[in-house]
Amino acid sequence: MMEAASVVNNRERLPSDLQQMVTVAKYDVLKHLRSKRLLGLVILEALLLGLTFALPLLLGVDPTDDPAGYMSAFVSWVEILVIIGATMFAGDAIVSEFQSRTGYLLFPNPVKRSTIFVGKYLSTLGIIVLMLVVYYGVAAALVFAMTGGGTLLSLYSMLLACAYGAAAAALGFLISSVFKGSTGSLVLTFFTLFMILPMIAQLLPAGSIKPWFVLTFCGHVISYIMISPYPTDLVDSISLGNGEFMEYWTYYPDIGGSLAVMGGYVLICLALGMYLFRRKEMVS
Amino acid sequence: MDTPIRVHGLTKVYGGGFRAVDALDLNVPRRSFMGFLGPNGAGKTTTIKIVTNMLSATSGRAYINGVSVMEDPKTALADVGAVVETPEFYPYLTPMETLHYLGELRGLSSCETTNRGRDLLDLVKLTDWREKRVGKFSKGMKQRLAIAQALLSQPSVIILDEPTSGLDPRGMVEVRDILKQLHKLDVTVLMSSHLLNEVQEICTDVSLINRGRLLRSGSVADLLDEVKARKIDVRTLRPLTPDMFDRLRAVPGVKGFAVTGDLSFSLDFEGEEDAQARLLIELQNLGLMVVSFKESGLALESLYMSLIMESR
Repeated sequence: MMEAASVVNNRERLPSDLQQMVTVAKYDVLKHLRSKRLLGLVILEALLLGLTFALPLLLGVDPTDDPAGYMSAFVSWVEILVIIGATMFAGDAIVSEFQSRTGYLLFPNPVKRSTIFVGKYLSTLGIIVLMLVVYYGVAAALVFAMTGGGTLLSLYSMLLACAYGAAAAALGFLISSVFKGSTGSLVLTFFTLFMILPMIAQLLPAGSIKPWFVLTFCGHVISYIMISPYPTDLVDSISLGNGEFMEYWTYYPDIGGSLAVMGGYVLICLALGMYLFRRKEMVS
Repeated sequence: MDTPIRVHGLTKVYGGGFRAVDALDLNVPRRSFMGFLGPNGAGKTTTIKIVTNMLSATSGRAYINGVSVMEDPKTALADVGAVVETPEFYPYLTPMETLHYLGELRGLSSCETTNRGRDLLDLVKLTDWREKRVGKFSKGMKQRLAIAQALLSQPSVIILDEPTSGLDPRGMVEVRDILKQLHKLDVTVLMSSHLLNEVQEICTDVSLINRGRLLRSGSVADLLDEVKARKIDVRTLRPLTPDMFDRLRAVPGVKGFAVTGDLSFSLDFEGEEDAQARLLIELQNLGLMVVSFKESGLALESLYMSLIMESR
């Protein structure tokens, strides 16, 4: 075999960046499909669907006949599902190549870092979308079984959830490009999406500032779109006791603006993450 | 391309000002098997990481087959197979799937990868494991798989960073046997190591570096010729007693000796093969009853140590 080795022009047959991107994405999807994380998420999805469906029946609560209203109960879990999905599949996507030393295998190959980055992002996005499609699909089937109908709003909600997933994953990739250890990266991704950004979105209205630019605030469109008509910003007064009142705004994200913000997060986080990944050195 | 690997003025300064590689010039001639020698921290791995695009250089250039690694790493690395440190593999893939992944990145067809992969896994003795996931493989098995993936695309340039590092004696022998087979191929190999016997056994050429700078480069044979003094290990049936010391020192070519055991000693000897033959006769005439008489193979070590000491 060794003697028969022939000189092959390895340069000529090198695939394009796009082809290599697809290859990276394909094998990264395989990683997710064989991972315990996906299994964990599938179990979580099953639990959420099962509890949302069965608990009212077990408690003897009459379910609503309105498909949109019934679907809302399922949709209310989607934001947290996206956050967990983004944490699990994006939170250490880049840093793991360095920490687990698999970069020593991948990086000396004739493939650009940007190609690896985008390929990995596409695979993460694919898994998150798959997770959402399964969740919405099962939820829609249960809604149909219980109400005999369905609603187009659930499709819109799913598309918005996919956009939110894309933005959350991009944020995870950015954090993953900065950190040196997987644990820190996973923890920060989760707490950024689960606590830090929601806290900012909670505090800003106190200063009458609409947190339209906060990703998790924009993510609320996934649930609000199930409400008809779509809610609009409103101001409330809170009595302070001595005849004085304090105005308090309740803000709702608008759909178009939120989609634009999510798109912005995707572009900015991916551009920054890719820049950092390209500069990151494989040091022992 | 007469020098498939060319490094010019390569410098790497890490944060904190540590200069790992210092204006290094290195030329690896075509079809040579170059040992890249130096003590720990000499800058070998840093150089190899820059050449394989895992680290950026502070200044200087590295070319593979005439293409700058800094400017066009994808083209430069197209014809390179590399094993840097001990890479970890994706634990969820089998060896065959790993080869398919890397083969696909290099444009190999699935059929070609399967056929070559089968041969390579046979070569590195992993055929029985080809459908098992890599997660549970030992370090030696991973290192053998790493060599297989480096050979997958039949590259003309192979870069190996301490390929036997961390392996048990059996693993080292197995990997060296594989490396020796590379001599049969039309390839240029750059292999870093700090194991002098390994370099002397496998390599045709050697470059010695210390503190990031090149000390000496040339063919192993030429460098060994520079080392006049040889060390000869002798084992006998009768002990070397003090009354024999002066007679031993008087033998032409003997520069010194050291008793290493009850029935063994080593000689620092300078001379050609005929002088060595006369030395053996003299030892027998002393009544030592020589059991074994051999050059210790550490000639390169003498040169290495003297160059390292000079560079300090």
